[in-house]
Amino acid sequence: MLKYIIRRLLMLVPVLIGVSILTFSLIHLIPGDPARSMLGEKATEAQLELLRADLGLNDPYIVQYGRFLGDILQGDLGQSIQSKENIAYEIMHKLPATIELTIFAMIVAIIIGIVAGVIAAVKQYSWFDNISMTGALFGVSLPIFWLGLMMIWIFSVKFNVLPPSGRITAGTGLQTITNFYLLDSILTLDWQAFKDVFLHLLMPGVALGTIPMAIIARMTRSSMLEVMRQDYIRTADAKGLKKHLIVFQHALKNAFLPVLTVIGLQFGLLLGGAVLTETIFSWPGVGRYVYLAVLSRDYPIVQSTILIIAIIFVLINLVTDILYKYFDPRIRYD
Amino acid sequence: MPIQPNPVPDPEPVIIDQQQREIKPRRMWVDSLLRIIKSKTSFVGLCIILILIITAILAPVIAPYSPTDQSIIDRYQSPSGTHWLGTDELGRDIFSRIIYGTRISIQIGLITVGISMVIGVLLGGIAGYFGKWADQIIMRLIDILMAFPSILLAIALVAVLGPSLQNAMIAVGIVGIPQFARIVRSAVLSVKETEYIEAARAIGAKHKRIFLQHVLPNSLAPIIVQATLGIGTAILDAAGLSFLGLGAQPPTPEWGAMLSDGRSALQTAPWVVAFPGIAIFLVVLGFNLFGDGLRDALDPRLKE
Repeated sequence: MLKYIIRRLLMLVPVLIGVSILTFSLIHLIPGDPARSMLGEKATEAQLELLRADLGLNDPYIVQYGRFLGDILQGDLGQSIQSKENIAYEIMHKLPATIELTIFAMIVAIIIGIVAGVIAAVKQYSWFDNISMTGALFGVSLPIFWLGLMMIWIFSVKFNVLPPSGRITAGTGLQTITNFYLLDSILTLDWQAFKDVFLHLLMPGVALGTIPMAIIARMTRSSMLEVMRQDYIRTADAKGLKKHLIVFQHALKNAFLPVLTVIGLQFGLLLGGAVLTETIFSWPGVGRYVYLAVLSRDYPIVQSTILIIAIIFVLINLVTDILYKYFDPRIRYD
Repeated sequence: MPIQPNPVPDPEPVIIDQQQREIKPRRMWVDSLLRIIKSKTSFVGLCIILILIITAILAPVIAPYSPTDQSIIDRYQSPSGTHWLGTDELGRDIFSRIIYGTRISIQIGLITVGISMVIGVLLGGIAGYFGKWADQIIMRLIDILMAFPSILLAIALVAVLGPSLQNAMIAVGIVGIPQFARIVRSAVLSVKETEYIEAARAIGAKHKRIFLQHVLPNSLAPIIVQATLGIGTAILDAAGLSFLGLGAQPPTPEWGAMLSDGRSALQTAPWVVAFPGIAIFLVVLGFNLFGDGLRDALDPRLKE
């Protein structure tokens, strides 16, 4: 197992180098003069030259890339062109918000998706099966930005039961330790804040979780159906085992592997979906950060954020593969 | 009395008959089509796609107003007899804009998937067919593209190229390449070792001929399925980019951009947001249903 993990980690090296080259190249793919594009038409030649010198745009590409890579390895992601903020600090500060949102979305998706998938499989062709699978089909076709706005309209505008934006109501006075607000409120036993944070998470979490929920439900159903046809399930049934024991102890355990892969893949993709969700719900995470940077042409922020998200994405996929191997020792990658 | 021979013997019917018996592939496509029509869900998908195409063609006939005509006194009218789906912040008729938007959606779907498919098939085909270092290089490149969440890579590419519908289509097209490349590569790998390819090689057929005439047609089913499902995803992603202001620019009646326009008036005029979203949903649903049906029909092994 350890050997496998080490081999997989080594295989990551070329991918990560490729990722760094691609993100580095972004700034050079800008048609025309990157400095002009960042500072706008009104910038003077002196300002442009200053920025070029600042970003080292006058050096040969290979020197620039070497510096880019060296800086990253030292944890230096440069500074924003507009606000001069330290990008690494900003990302570290905003990442917990995004991770909290994606984990919440994923938990919602996994619980509802697996329960719906299992029931749909056990009661194949029942009304529940039909409704939940139709719902799942609808779920994968929904534009989440539309779903998010409709939720705001229903739950914030019409019924005024959920907050339309942000992570927490101003003045709640939550003492932050980890910057994962839900966790912080538990650690400080601040239940008022916990409720507030939870209510803020509900809409963006469900909106972001809809697509993975639908995909997990479909995968669970088809995987369960496949397993339920196996001989050992029939044996378990024949020896009089209770239905719920068969379903959960025998079937779900074996049906879980393909579901796990889907969960891992979707978890990574949520980081991309977070850009849309965070924009709609004014969620102060890295998704909104990169979006605002794109709008203001603050390319160093775009580069760094995308690089960080890609690294997280690759790591999540790696963990999924390792878990897969752990749960199914029959898998051999040679 | 000997039978009179037909003065003008007509060999045509016999030949056609023989040809029909020999051309098996045609039978496969007919079979698949029948299977799609028989399946309720994929039939619904097919109907949605047909309605979309007809609407796009007949847009000027169906739409009661011009999609770009502004009328400030009519702004934010709720749905009524004169404006079926209401009007937006510039008094434009939303129904007419959605109708014209079908043209843009079809354009987005076809162009993006076209980009993904042509490059993906080429890369995947080369990787699978030639193997060795070509395979290594191409698949590592694909790995790198796949190391980014797709919508994020698309956003980054548009950020660099500049916001426009054309660049959004290029970005979403590039992001879709890996799926095609991987599907084609594995299809080619499984076809490559078959005896008829060996036979073609034995009679001295060139690589190009073997690939285009023998390998590609036999890898076609998964490519078509991916293309159909890909159109849905492409429309969704491009709408997302337009929603963020990185795709179609005003006054283009693109559904994602329309949704974005309506955001500021969500409290007072929710219909401006609601209807374009429903349009996106229906079209994506149509391609997803039809794509699922195609997969079941073209690849019976995957069927339950």
